[in-house]
Amino acid sequence: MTAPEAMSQADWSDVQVAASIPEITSGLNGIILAAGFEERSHVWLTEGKFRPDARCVLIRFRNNVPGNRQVFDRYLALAKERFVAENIHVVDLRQESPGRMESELGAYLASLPRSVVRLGIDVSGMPSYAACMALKATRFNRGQHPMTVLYTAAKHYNPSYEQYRKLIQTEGADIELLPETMALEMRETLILDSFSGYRSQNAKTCLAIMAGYEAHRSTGVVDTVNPSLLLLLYGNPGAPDLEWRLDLSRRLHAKFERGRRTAETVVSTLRFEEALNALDTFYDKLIDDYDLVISPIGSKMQTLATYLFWERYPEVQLNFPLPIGYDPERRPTGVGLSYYVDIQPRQTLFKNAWPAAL
Amino acid sequence: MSESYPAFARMNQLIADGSDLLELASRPDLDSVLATLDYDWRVNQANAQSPLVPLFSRHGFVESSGSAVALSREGILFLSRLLVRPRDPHSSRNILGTLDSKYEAKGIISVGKNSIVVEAVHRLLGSRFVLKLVRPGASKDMLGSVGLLSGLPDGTRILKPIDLVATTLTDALGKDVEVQCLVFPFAEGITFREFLSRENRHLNSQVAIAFARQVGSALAALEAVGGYHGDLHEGNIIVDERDARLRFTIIDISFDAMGSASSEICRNNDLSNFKQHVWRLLAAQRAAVPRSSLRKYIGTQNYRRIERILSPETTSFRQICEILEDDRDYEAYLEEKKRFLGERFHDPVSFRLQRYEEMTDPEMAVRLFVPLEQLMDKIQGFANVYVSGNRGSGKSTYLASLGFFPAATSGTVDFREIFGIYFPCRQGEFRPLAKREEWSDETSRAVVTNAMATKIVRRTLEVISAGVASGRLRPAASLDALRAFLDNLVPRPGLVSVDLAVQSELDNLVASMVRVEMDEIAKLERPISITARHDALTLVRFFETVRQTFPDLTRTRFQILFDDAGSPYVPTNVQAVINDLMLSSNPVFCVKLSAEKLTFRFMSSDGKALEEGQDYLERDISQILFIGSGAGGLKREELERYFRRIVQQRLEAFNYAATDIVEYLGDEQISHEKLLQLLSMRTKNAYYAGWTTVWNIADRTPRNLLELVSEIFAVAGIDKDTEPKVVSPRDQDRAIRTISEKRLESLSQIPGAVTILGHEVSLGRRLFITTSAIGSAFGMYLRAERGRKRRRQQLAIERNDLEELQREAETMLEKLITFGILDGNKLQWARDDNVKKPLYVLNRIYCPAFGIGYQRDEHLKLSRGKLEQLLVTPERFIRDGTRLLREAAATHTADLFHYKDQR
Repeated sequence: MTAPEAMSQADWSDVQVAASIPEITSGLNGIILAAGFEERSHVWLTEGKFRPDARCVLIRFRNNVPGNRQVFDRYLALAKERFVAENIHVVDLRQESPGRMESELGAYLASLPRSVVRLGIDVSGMPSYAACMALKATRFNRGQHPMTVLYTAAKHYNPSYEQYRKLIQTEGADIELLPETMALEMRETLILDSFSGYRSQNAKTCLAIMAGYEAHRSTGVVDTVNPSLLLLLYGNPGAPDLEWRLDLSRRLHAKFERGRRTAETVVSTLRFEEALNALDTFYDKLIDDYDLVISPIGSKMQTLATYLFWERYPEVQLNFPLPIGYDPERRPTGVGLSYYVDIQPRQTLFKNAWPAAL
Repeated sequence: MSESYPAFARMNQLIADGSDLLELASRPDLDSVLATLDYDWRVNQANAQSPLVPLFSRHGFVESSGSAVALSREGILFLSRLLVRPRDPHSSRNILGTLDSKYEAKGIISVGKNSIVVEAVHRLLGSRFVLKLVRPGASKDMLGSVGLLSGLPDGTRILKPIDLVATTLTDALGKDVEVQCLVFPFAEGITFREFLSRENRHLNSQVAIAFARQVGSALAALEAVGGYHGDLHEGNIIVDERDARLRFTIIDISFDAMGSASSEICRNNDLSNFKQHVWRLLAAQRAAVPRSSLRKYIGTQNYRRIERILSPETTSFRQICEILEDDRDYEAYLEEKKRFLGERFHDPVSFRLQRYEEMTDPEMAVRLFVPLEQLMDKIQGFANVYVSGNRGSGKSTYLASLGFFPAATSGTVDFREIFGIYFPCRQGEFRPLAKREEWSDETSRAVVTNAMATKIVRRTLEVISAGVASGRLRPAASLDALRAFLDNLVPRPGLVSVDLAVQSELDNLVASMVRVEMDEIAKLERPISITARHDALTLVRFFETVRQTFPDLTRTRFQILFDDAGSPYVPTNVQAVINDLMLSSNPVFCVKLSAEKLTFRFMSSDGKALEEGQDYLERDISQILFIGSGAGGLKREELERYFRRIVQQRLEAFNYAATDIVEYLGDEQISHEKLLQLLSMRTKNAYYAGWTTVWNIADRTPRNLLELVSEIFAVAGIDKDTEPKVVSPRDQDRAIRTISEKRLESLSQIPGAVTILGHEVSLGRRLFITTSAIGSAFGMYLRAERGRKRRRQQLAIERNDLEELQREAETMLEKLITFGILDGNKLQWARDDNVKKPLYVLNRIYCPAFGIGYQRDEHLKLSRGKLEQLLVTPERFIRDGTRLLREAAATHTADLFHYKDQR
């Protein structure tokens, strides 16, 4: 199922199931997490065992989603049970100026003592743009140390299998009518200054979309970028009983393949190195003639791959199609497995590939 | 540690082995101890009774013994390192010994293990030289080695000695010592070390390749004659930037003066040092262009070359030269790339008369472009122009048709008269220039103006360079004036070019400007300090220089074309600077832009509102294509002919069997009156069909027209080989309604948010709902005409007052106009109060979706309150917006999707 280019060059350590969350968190000097309204977003905070001097950075959503304030208060209360009050730091993610989160988080991380060497970033509750900013702030301010990316899967995602069955019965191969998703209609395509890349003179663009199930966001970003080439990276959930999700994603995006010069490939939703390698393969053949724009609308781990790819090739632009809001009623529910992956320090990240190390 | 790192273990052993020598060298009474040797340099004899002899013997420094001992070459070198030294390390006085009569020492450049290097002036000639005093014992055969160097080809970038002389110095103990001295000409420039550490290096992307070529080939030549440099550190490469051309010269060649190191070690050191220098150069470039990887910056061909050069498999300079000259690796990559892209990227389904590329590639769009003469005349004239019009009306294509595309064999305009520099703003090029919180208005203006000037200069040079390369433009006889201009434009130290074997002179200028632009964009992330002040005058001077330089452009006038320059593609502070350029009335360049309605703010950076007609001209394509009598409108037949020509051109270009669209669509459709009758009755044979119907529904929008025709062809299975026949009205109707419904439904996917009743909601969704309400209302009005002798179609909303709308309604109205759903260009003369009132006409492409006619017979007259109701709460409007709607609601359920149940 997974494309051949995604399988090559797998030189990363694997994403591992967290057999013991306390064991992993006790090795951290701090954790960064977002106060998301999904149950899975606070698993690492709830179950984690932290050192007495460990830090906790809570990302607070400042937007119009109902109930955000109460959700944040619960996170804060949880954090106070586990961390010394002065070691808890709150960073706001404001709807009107999202880019400020990176600088505020970066300033805080830069102010930490040198003894803080190992940070964990729980991306479970972060939208993709916040995850990228958190990763960048951490890796550029504590770049000499490894970090650990933490993630907890949900048990039930939208759309459900029942919705999928209904959709393919009524719509067939190409699904035009979109399933109801947690992310509401498109507001804008966010291009953060940090990730705006470099547009070269040829002005031809290849847009790579980590395609998920919110095809309206894909539509928005395709409309914004108007790419000459489209690369769709579909997510393979891995488990045979979830293969229908890959099929649904393909059907939702079939209309793009009809209307533009398109390539598609399949990468794991979890093992981010597959997405990274697939991007590398296409980059190698495209970059002299096209500017590459990537839009991570797929899984959290694909967002991690997108960030790491940007770190390697900063001319790549990251586009984040933002919805006008989120409907908490349609959020993924339940708590599945938790995962972690260690990421090497930035300076030695691509030590075997000389140009990236430079 | 030592177990893990064998190199460290070896080094530790060497230090341990030489610890007694180190101890000797660091003794405070060193000279007294050395005096016991009573060493005579002329005859190589030392006192055998000296306590140092056993130590020297242990290290192999003694060659023969007896009453007087002779030292080995290594021993002589060791002793000379201790005894031959400047009396004052900071002064070159007496350093030249007997050569002092010929040369005046000006300073010591270095004191090394094997030589002392002195800068000197020839007393008689006054010219500058570098004298290298080689320590006794450092060389086995200096004369032979110098002779070998004479075998190096001319032009090799190694500074060769011009003379080998002997001089007698006095050692630290007062004894005479004869020393060989190599005389080198003085090399102008800075060291490679200084070059790397200098701020503001406008290194063009090919500097590493230029370095590798020049230094690599010099070392390869040395290698070929059996030599090596031996000490290739950053101070021994001189970078000469005179004449604005980058030249690297290797100096201070230490061949055969390397003391105890073997030739093989020396050669390996050369290779290792060379690779490190290439690496450092790339590292410096990487640090200076944080928004680009090296792969992108230097390009794949050179990236692969550098990768191979730095590989451990590359073990000689000959190989390095081969890598730099051999294109086979890159050609294989290109082959593989072609195969990969061909296999992996699939073309979309056939668009019949459209090509997907024309949506993404302006050059392709221009190739298929059919200009309307009257419109083209109005757009191409030398004036600032704002090209507006409905989506798909061809704004971008008209603008792009003025652009110079180097690969195109011909253009719509003659580039000798009009040279368009095209910026597709939608690609996001201008977004990083958005005003930041910390910038004052003045900072924003200065920063963006500088960046814009740099972008325009860079882009102009790029297209000219590509034009020269493709043969469309004749090359310049001299680029001196252009170079001089650019040298002043860019920050210090100005332009630096690499050798012509790497890049043409013009490409050098382009590469430098690309780098300057990258620097400027990168600077935005840091606190701003304004170092340059460019303005429109800078561009005027630049374009005048271009005219003087390129023979084909001496008469041309430049048009700077910003396509899709509205928000959000171009931030408002950047729009302000574009306006500043428009206000700089001059005979050399003008500005033209396209933007969706109400997305470009005509306000300069100092707050002056630009006046339409005075500062710029608006050319609204949809308005110009409006059918009307007199000077303001186009004759119906003219528009029909124009649209027929658009289709004809494509039928010809794609080799269809017939080129007259009427042969496929027919033109015998039912009359509009009959269509209205059938639509009002909701009969199944109310077919939209025939050429006249199609071009009317296209509503002055070429893209609509092509989509409609293409869909009809798709439904009827017509391709280029099909025998021409008229498609059945039923099939035409199906295709037309499909396109219309798609257009309507696609509105809901328009991104954005608006505030309605205090809540932020999806813009696309609101546009869809409001359009549905308008179309459904018009549909209900038509249905109400059922049974009348002459049916009239409502297709526009007319204000029956001039009161200002509340903010939310006004915003929605603006958005409906921006997205081309309503045409807001018309005013209706109201007889009742003798004033002109705004009229908003529904785009006819939506008519089939609503099952209504496409001719505007009547207007739905709405008061401010009712219009606000329609715009803010369309769900309510459809039930009680007018008396007719209220009556309809009483008899059946009226909702927004009423239109879906037509037949």
